[in-house]
Amino acid sequence: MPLLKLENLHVSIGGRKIIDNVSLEIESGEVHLLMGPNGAGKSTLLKAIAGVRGVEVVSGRILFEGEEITGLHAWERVRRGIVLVWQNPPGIEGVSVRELAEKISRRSGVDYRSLAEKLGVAELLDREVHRRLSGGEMRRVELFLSLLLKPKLLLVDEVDSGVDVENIARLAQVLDEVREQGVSLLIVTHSGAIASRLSRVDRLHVLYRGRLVYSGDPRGVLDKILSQGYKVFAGGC
Amino acid sequence: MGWIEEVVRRAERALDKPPSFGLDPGLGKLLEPVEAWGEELDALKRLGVTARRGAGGFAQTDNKIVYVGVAEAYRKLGVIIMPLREALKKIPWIEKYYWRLLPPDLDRYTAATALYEGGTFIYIPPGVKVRAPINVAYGVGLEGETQTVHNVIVVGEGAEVDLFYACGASVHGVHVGVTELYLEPRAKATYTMVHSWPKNFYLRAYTKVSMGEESRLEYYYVNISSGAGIASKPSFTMRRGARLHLDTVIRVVEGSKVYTGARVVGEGEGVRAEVLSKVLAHHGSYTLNLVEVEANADIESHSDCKALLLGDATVETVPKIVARSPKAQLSHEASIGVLSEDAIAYLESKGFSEEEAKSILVYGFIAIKPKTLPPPLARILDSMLQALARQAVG
Ligand SMILES: Nc1ncnc2c1ncn2[C@@H]1O[C@H](COP(=O)(O)OP(=O)(O)O)[C@@H](O)[C@H]1O
Ligand SMILES: [Mg+2]
Repeated sequence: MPLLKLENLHVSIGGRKIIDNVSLEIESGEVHLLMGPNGAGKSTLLKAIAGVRGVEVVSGRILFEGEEITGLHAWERVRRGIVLVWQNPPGIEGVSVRELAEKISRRSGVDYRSLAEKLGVAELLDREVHRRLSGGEMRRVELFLSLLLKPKLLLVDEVDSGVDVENIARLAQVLDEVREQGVSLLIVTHSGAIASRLSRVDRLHVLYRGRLVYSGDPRGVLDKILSQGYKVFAGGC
Repeated sequence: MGWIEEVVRRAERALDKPPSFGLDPGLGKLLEPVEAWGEELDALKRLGVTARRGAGGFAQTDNKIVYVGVAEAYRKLGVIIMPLREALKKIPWIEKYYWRLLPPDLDRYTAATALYEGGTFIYIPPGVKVRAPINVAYGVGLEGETQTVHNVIVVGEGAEVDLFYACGASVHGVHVGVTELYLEPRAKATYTMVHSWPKNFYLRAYTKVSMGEESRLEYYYVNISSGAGIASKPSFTMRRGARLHLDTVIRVVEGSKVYTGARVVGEGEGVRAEVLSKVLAHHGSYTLNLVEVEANADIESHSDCKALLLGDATVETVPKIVARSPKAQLSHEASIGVLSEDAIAYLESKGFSEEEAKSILVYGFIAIKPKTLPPPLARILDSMLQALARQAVG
């Protein structure tokens, strides 16, 4: 039984169709990359899997550990182990990273202090959540808050965009460790920057204008995207 | 004629005078204060408040003074906490501070207060540093009562004190609170007030603060529930080098009409004032928030008035900054918004229910970051804010 299964998923936001008939499966312990140009619908697909409000599944099904979760609220999916690392998380005025981390770890039982040390966010704990942080700081804080939730499946949205090379290597190392602990990963990257630094990638999916135009072995295709861009998919595969 | 007789005479002639600001619910039952030692009102105990802790305290339920006390160590240093009526008889020099910042004949509510005043006189002698809070509690439990209390507080030169006031009610009525707070030069005080009113209750508060040279004041006000209506706009006169940090939160409940704000007048160089005001407006409520800063000298001030609408509500924020001095630096921000859908969606995706997400956002909006409040008061303040956030979304 796959950990996650998407069956003919159609997703829209505000009545606008964005994801068109996407099906895919992720086995437990696997690392999948989801690539595609800006605006292809990668973030929308991750939000649909996480059950974020405002993102409507028009038809199709989402199954997690064999059970249908298509209609479940976001927080119920979190409880089952699906956690989204946001690309552009909104700022939460007046709430410190520590306050939010305490609330989350009270439920999940994860010790937030040691995780904060490990992810290099210890000195950001008293800052407001996602406000007045640099791009790299915001991504680390968001990864930190997400890992506190003890995910089984981590949906990672563009943690590598706008991050310098050194920090990408660090992020890749963290994601490798997370995977070694048995967490499955679906990693969105439009630049592909993080792809070559991960010690393992099982599958690559390419989303183009809301459709999956490639699902399969990452080798070869990844190099082609990095050298020629997404136009190679313009005609469909 | 002595000053006290003059106050009475002026008050008697003003009992019909309507107020110039806010609602005019009328005078209900007025009762002479009496001493009747007993328990504080349940409505206050539920707030976790008691006058019987700390360096001293005072509690009044309806017109009954149920508790007054000063810790022995501070009594020896000359700290006074006394029912105001008793102080008027025993302490002649109170005349210097009694109805000197506010006129008794301002309107029928100040007049009724001058004639029936309960409340307390608090005096901290020069140089005395009071290291535990002084707690004052007022409760209304008598249907249809107009409770009139008058607080005269004098913090002597270089003295330090943390004052905590809690007021609540369990019935229909009116609370009139007149406060004259004097900070002598270099005095340092924190003043924290929490209120919670039932649906059909009115508050009319009159607060004037005189800040001497180089004095410091942190002023926090949390209103968990605004009842039928509030009129409260504290006013601060600041002399050379004085510093004020003001942070207020009012939850304006459905059907409530709130007239609030603050007035800060900087009279001397080097004055610095920070005025933060947060209004949480429920469906079908009205709020007028008037924040005025006047610079008669080279002062620095920043004010920030924020409102969060939790339904179809009206909020009028009226900032006014007046500079009469060339190097005054005055700034003002104002905003009115609603809870962000995106932020709710985000918090849900971090495992919180919709209600929890909203309560986290409301708590963040109303957050008060106290500067030097002693930890026990900071904890009470925080638990009030948490209760407020829960009630706002519950
Ligand atoms: N909240 C929204 N309302 C309307 N359209 C949206 C919204 N969010 C995303 N879209 C649109 O959906 C499409 C896919 O966006 P997104 O999923 O963010 O793409 P990607 O992550 O691949 O860059 C884009 O055309 C974008 O403009
Ligand atoms: Mg995206």
